[in-house]
Amino acid sequence: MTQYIIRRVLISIPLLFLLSLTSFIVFQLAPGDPIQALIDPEEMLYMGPHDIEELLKEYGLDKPVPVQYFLWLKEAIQGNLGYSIQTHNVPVLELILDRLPPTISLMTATVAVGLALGLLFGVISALYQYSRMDYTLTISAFFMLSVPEFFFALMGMFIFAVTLGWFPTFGMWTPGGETGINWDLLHHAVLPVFALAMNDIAGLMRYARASVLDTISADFVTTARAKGLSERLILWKHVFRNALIPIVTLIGLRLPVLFGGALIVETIFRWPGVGLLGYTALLQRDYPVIMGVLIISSVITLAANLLTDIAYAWVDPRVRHS
Amino acid sequence: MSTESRAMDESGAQPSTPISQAAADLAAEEIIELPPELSPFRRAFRRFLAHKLALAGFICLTVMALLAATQAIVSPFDPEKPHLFKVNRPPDTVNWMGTDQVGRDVFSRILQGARVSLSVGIVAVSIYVVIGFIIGSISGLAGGYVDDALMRFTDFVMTFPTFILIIILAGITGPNIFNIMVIIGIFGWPGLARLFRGNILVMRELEYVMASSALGASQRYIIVRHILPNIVGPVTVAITLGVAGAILAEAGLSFLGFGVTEPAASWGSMINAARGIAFLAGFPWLWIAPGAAISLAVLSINFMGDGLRDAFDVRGRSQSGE
Repeated sequence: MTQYIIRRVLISIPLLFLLSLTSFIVFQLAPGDPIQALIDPEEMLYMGPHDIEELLKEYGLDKPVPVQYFLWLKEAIQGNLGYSIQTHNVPVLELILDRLPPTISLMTATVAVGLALGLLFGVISALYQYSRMDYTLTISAFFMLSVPEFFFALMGMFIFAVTLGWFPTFGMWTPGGETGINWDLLHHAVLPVFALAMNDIAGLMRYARASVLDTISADFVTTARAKGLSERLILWKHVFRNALIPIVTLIGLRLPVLFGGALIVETIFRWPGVGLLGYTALLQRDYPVIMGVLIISSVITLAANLLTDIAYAWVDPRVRHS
Repeated sequence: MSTESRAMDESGAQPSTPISQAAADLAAEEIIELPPELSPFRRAFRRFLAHKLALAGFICLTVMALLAATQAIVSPFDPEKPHLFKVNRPPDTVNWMGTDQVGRDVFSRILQGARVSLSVGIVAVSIYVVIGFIIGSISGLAGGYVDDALMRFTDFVMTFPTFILIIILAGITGPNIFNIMVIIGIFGWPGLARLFRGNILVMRELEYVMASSALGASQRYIIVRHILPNIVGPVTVAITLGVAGAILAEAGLSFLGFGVTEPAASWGSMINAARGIAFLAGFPWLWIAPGAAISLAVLSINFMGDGLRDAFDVRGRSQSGE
C-alpha cells in the first residue's frame, strides 16, 4: 500500500510541473505588460524609457522568458502567487484562501447530494429494471444532463426564490445577520447546491444503475442465491458493496467539471467563492488573480484525484497490485 | 488515474456528457427481429429507427438545423434591429416569443442563436476529433514510451479544470466566435484519444488484422481498411455527445459574457443580457426562451447519441477495450 501511495505521488509531481508551465504560458499570452499594470498611468507620463528599463530590470522582466518561468516557479512554490492589481496589491494567495471555504463547502455539499440521490435513484432504477419507475428516472436523468446548470439556477431562483419566496436569491447569509455554519447558511445553500448537483445526480445515477445491473448478474451473486442467503444480505453485502464502491473514483473525475459549474453558479447566486473571485478578476483583467484561481483549482483537482485513487486502492487491493 | 476509472470512462467516452444506458436497455426490448443478411450499417440504421426517443431527437434537431440554415429567410424580423417602440413586450401573435430590452424579436434571435450554437458545436468537435485521432492512433500504434508519455499527457488534460481554462482563454483572447470554437476544440480531445487508442490496441491483436499484416499490408492500409470501419460506431456516439458538450460549453461561455457579443445573438448571451432580478421576475420570456432552446437542442442530441449507442451496440464492443 505504501509503495502504491509513493508511486502515485511521484506521478503527480511532473503533472504539477506541467500545470505550472501551462498556467505560465497562458499568463504570457495575456495582452498588456506587467509594468503598465503596476504603475499609475499619471506617474507613467513623467517616466522616460530609461526609467522603464530600470523597472524591468528590477522585476527581472528583462530576462529571457524561460528564466522568468523558473523565477516565477520558485516564488509560486513558496506560496507567492503575485499581487492583485485591482485590490491594491493584496497577495493573490491571501485573496484566494479567503474565498476557498465557500467554494469548498458548495462543492462538498454538491458531491454529497449528488452521491446520495444519484446512488439512491440508480439502485432503484436497477432493482426495478424496465418498470415505470425506471423509465421515469431514466428520462429525468436525460433532462438533468441536458439542461445547463445556469438555466437550472435561474429557474430555481425564479420559481422558489422570486415567485414562492421560499429561499433567498443571493449570498451565503442574510446581510447583517450572523455568519458561520448555521440554518441561515443552509437556507442560502439549497438553490445553488441543487442547481449544481443536477448533473452529478444524473451522471452518478447512470453509473450506479449500470454497475448494479452488471453485478447482480455476476456468478458470485448467483452462488450467494444458491446458498440460500436472504435477498437483503445478498443486496447489501454482495451487490451494493461491489457495485457502488468503484463509483467513488468517479468523484475525482467529476471535480474538474464541477469547478467550472461552481464558477457559473457562484456568479448567479453571488456566492462569495473562488469562482466569483475569478469571474470578477477576469472582467477587471486582473491577471495575477486569474492565474492564482487557475493554479489553485488545478492543484485541488490533482490532489483530489490522488486521494480518490488512494482511497480506491485501499478498498480494492487489485488496483495497487496491477 | 486508476485503471478502473479509465475502463469505466472508455465506455462513456465523454465524462462530461454521459448518457443513460438505461434508455438503451429500455429500447432494447422493442428491437425488432432482423433478417440476418442485412449489412452492419443497415442493421444499425434499423435499430436507430426503432429507438423512438432517438428518432424524436433526430427529427427535432433536423428541424432546428433547417431553421438555423434558412434563418435569413424564415426569420420574421431582423434579429439585430432594435425597435424602440416595442421594448420588453411579452409574447403575442406578432412576436411569438416577445421582444427584448431594445425591442428586438426574441424568436428571430433564437433562430440566429441556433446557427451560432450548432456551428460552434460542429466545428469544435471536428477540431478535437482530428486531435484525438492523431494522438490516439500514434499512442496505440507506437506503444512503449511514446504511448506512456501521450497517455500521461491525456490524463493531465483530463484532470485540468478545463472549463476554468476555457473561460480564462476566452476572457483573454476576447469574445469572438472563432476563438470559442478553437478553444473548446483544443480541450475536448482526451476522451476520443483514449477511445481510438483503446480500440486500436484491441484490434491489432485480432486475427484478421494480423493476417492482413502477415500478407504484407502497410500500417496505413490496416488503419484505413480494417480499424477505422470497426470503430465508426463508438466514434459516432462520442462525436454526437461531444457536440452536445460543446454546445453547453459555448452556452456557458456566452452566458458569462465571454462568448458571442452584441448585436449578434447566441442562446447563452441572450440569457446573459437578461440577468438580474428585475429581468428574471419581470420579463421571464427573455431567458426562458433561450434556456429552453439550449435544453431542447442538447436533449435531442443526447437522445440521438443514446440511439446510436444502441444501434452500433457500442457498450458490448468497448467493454473489451483496454
